[in-house]
Amino acid sequence: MKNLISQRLDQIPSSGIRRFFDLLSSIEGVISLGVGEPDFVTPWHIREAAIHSLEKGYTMYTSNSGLLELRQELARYLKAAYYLDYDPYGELLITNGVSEGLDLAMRAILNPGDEVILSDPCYVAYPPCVLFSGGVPVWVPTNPEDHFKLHASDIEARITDQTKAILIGYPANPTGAVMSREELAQIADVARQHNLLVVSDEIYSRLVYETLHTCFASLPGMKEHTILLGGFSKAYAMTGWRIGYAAASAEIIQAMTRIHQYTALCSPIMGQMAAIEALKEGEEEVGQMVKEYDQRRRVIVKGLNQIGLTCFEPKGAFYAFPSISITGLSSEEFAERLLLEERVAAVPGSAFGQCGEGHVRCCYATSLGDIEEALRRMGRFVGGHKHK
Amino acid sequence: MKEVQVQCYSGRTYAERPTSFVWQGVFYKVEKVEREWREPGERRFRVCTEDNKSFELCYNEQKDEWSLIELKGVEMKKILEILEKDARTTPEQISTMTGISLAEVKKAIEEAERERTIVKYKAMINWQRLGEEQVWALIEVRIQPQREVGFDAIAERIYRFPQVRSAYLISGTYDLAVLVVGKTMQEVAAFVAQKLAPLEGVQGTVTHFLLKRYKEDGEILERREEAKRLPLTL
Repeated sequence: MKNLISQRLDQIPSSGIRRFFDLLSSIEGVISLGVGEPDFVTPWHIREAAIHSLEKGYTMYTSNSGLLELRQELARYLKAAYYLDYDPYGELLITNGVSEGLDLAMRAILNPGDEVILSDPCYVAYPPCVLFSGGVPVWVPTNPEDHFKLHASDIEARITDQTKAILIGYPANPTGAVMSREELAQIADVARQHNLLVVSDEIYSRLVYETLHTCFASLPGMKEHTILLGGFSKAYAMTGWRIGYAAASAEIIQAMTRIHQYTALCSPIMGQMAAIEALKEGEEEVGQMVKEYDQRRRVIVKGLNQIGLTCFEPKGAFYAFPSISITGLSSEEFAERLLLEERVAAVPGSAFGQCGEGHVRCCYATSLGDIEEALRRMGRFVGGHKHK
Repeated sequence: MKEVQVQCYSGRTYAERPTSFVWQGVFYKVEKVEREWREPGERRFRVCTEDNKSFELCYNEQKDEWSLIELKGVEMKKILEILEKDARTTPEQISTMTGISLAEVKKAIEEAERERTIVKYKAMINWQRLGEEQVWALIEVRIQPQREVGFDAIAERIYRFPQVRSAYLISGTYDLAVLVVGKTMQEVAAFVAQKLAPLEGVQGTVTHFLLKRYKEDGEILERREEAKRLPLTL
C-alpha cells in the first residue's frame, strides 16, 4: 500500500500550526488570542429566523446558485454599499464561505503554470488554493514600516507572461492592514494595463475603523476585472453557518457555478435563510459589534506597544500583528514559550508567509478583561525574554 | 441630532466629502475631515471647521438626509455607553478605548454625575443565588389624575415608599406600573392593602406576584452562554 495519497498534495506543506494546536489543547486556563472568529454568538434574531425556517420545512437543496431571494438581497446590498450593479440572475453565486469561493475562483481561471501574485504575509488558504489549481504563487514581500501595504510597483515588477491574476484580501488577515482607495486604484491600473484579473477577498469589509472600506470592484472600470468574494462570517458573527458569495462577470460566475454544482451542489439552506435575515435586519448589530471591536483594538494596540511589542495601528479586521524582535525569538519559539510560560496563545506570524516571521497574530475579538489579562502576562513574558 | 444643510464633494458616489454646511443660520466651512466611518445606515464625518469647532456630520443613506452633532455630545455618549455596560471601567481605560483624552473623560464623567445623567453606580445582584427569600410583585394601579399636576403628585406619593423599586406611568387600561419588593407575600399584600390602595386618588389595584425573573436590564440572570470557539483558528 504505497502512494495512497495524491502527489498533488506533496507541494502543500502540512501546517506547522498543527503541533502548536495540540500543545494548546493540552493546557488549561489559556487565554487565547489565537482565534480567527468573533466572540459574539450570531445575533438572536438571525438564529431565530433560521429556526423558524426549519420549522417551516426548509430543509432541501436550493438552486446551485443559491436562493434567489438571498442573491437579490445581496445585489441590493452591493448597490447600496458600493453603487455596484450585479445581476442576481447570473453575476452572483452563494458559496460555502469565502473558502469555497476562493477555491472555485482559482479553479475557474487558472491553467497549469499560471502565476498568481499575492502579498507576503497573507491568509493561509491563498497559496494552497493557487497550488491545488495548478497555479504558481508569486510572493510580493510587504513590511511593517509600511503597515504591510501592497504596492502596485512591486506587483508590476513581478508580472510575467504567465501572470493571470492578483489575489488580495483587505482588510487583511493576519495584519489588520487596510488599503486606501487611492492605493487600490494604483493596483487596479496595473491590472488593467496587463489585463489581469483581481481576486478580492473582502470577508472583513464591514470591520473597518475610522475609515470606509473600498470595494475593489467599485474602482472605475474594475467590475469586469474583479472576482469579489465576501461572506457573512465576520460581520454577522456567522462563521459556523458557512455562507459566502462570489460576485463577478456572468462568464466567470458561470464557470465557478459549473464546478460548484458538482462539488458542493449548493450551500446549506438554513444558512442561506439566516443570511437573508442578516442582510435585511442585521445592520444594527453589525454597528454594535464594530463599536466594541474598535474599543478593544485601541486597548490591545496601546498595550502591545507599551510592553515593547511594537505594532502599527490596524484599521481593519480584528487582528493586531506586533513585532516580537525585542525578544530575539523566532515567532514559533515566541508563541510556544508564551503558551507554556504564561498560558497565552497567539499565532506565529511565520504561518502566514516568510515576511510574517518576527511577528505574532493577536486576535482582539475577545473580552476586554481577557485582553487586559493577556497583556499583563505578555508584559511579564517580554520582560523576562528581552534580547541581550 | 439637529437638521443641517450640507454641501459636499461628490465624485463617483454622492457625499464623498462634506465641504461646508449651514447650521442654525451660520455658515461653516469645513477645514478638515478628521475621520470618516460608517454606522448602521449612515456615513459619518468628523469635521473641523475654519474657526476650529468640531462637529460630526451624519448622512443617512436611506432617508437621504443630513444631520449634525456637536462633538461634545458625541464624546459624552461614548463614555456613558461604556459606563452603562460596566460601571467599574476606569477613566484611564475609557480614554484608551475611545481615544478621548484622560482629562476630557474625567471632566465628562464629573459633569454627568453633577447633572445626574449618571444617576448612581451599583452592582446588579441576583439574590436568588444566595437562596434569599424575596417576593416581587408588579402592581397595576388605576389613579384619578388631578388638576394641574396630572398623575405626578399621586405617583410621587407612591414612589416615595422604599418598598417601591420601580414606578412607571404607562398607557393603556391602567396608569401606573409599580414594582414592589418584600420579604414575604404577606408583607407585600399588607403594603398594598394598607399603604397603596387607600391613597386618595387611587381607584383600584391589581397585584401580580412574580414567579421567576429571567432577564433584567438587558442581562440574562441564570445562565451564561459559554464560549464554544476553538482556541485556535487561522
